Amino acid sequence: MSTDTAIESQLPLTEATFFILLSLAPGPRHGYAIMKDVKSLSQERVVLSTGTLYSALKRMLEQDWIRRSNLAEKKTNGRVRKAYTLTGLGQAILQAEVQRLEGLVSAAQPRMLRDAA
Amino acid sequence: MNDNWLTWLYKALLSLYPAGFRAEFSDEMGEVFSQIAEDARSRSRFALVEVVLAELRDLPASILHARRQARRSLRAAADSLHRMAPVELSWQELLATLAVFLLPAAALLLHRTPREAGAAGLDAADIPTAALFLIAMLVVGLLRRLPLRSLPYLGVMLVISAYLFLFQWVADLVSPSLISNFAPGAWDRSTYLLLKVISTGMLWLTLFCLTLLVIALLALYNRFQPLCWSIRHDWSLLSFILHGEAVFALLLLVEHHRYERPFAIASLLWLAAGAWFYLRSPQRWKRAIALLGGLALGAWAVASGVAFGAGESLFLSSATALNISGQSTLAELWTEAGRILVIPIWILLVLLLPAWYSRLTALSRVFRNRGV
Repeated sequence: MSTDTAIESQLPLTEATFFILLSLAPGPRHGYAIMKDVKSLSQERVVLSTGTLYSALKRMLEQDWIRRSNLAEKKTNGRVRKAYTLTGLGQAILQAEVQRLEGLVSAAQPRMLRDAA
Repeated sequence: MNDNWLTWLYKALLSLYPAGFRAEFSDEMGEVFSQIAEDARSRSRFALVEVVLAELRDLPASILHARRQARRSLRAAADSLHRMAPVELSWQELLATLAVFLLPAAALLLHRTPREAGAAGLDAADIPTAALFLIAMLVVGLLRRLPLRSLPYLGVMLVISAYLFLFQWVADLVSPSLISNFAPGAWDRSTYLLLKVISTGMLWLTLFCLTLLVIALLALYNRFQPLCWSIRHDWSLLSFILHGEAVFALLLLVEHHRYERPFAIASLLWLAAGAWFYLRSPQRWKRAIALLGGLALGAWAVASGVAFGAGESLFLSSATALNISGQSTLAELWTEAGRILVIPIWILLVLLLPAWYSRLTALSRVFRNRGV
């Protein structure tokens, strides 16, 4: 199986997975920051609970879409805070999903504009 | 509402996640929940209640999902384990596995003089040492999640426990007068043999069910789930446990005879050979043949020994103690040989049960896929 086919076999992503990957696109983030960012990116449509977030993170770690970032580990109240960052594969999957969504939108737009006209 | 108390409750609920997930994420999740609760509380009490309810609503689904994932990972691990064939054991591990067959043989070999025999034909002085050795090996096996080499030990301990507790308890339930009647003199020989076939079959099928029950109980503990998945994947592992149970059963046959120690030693060596070929064989059918071959030859050796001992004692005492004719003596010998053969035949049948079950489920899958 080629890399492109392997990536396409993972699509479409669920909304929660898509927003988590999108949240990690600019750089490493810790769990709570991801939750807040997903809520803001989705305009409060997708509100992740802690359990849902960490189940998704575990699956993505296993699939090598993300990794725990060593550099971004910070300490708050004496406790270690771990951060997550996109891997090359994760970035490729996010890019492929964005392209897929763009394709959908570009297919829909002429029809929608014509109907509106 | 107190945030600390809520965080403590949430962390307690996190213990419902599988162990691997907990070890990896529970600290982080507790920390994140604490932050969410703190943020919500700073807004309003209502926001806090809303956040807590949302978390509690999603938690069961998330726990079930994590548990399902953990089971899938275990199954995948078990599958990959069985793709590694033949089983690679170091010579120390091989020796440790075969010790359950070889050490009783060595004990029988060392005590050549016909002294007072204890249970299972071993010298009475050897019994505590043997018990300590078996318990130690089983405990080590349990601590290491019951690897392949521990399975015969599990079998031996199961059959001994069943013999000491379960069968004795069942025997106490049965009327003593019936037991006293259950002897060749009280019944005609064919009825006696038929009853022997039924009672031995009941005993071995009970032992088989007991083995399944123990495995089902072990499956409740996460640490033994790889073993249980392995057994579901490879039925010959169950037969290997039963192969260990055969050691004690065959030794019990020689308990009351002192003439057949060489035969008993040969029997144990055949069982060890079967186990050795089992551990070295890559395919399941070869493993099954190794166990069946070892057991069949072992049973043949014991049966020959017991028939030899019984024949000798019957012929020697025919004119005096038994006061029976030569023809009856021969009939007694046949009855004794039949009684002896019943046990290994039942062990062989029970040893094959997992294979039959596996074949039946495979057939049912084929029929289901064809829409029959």
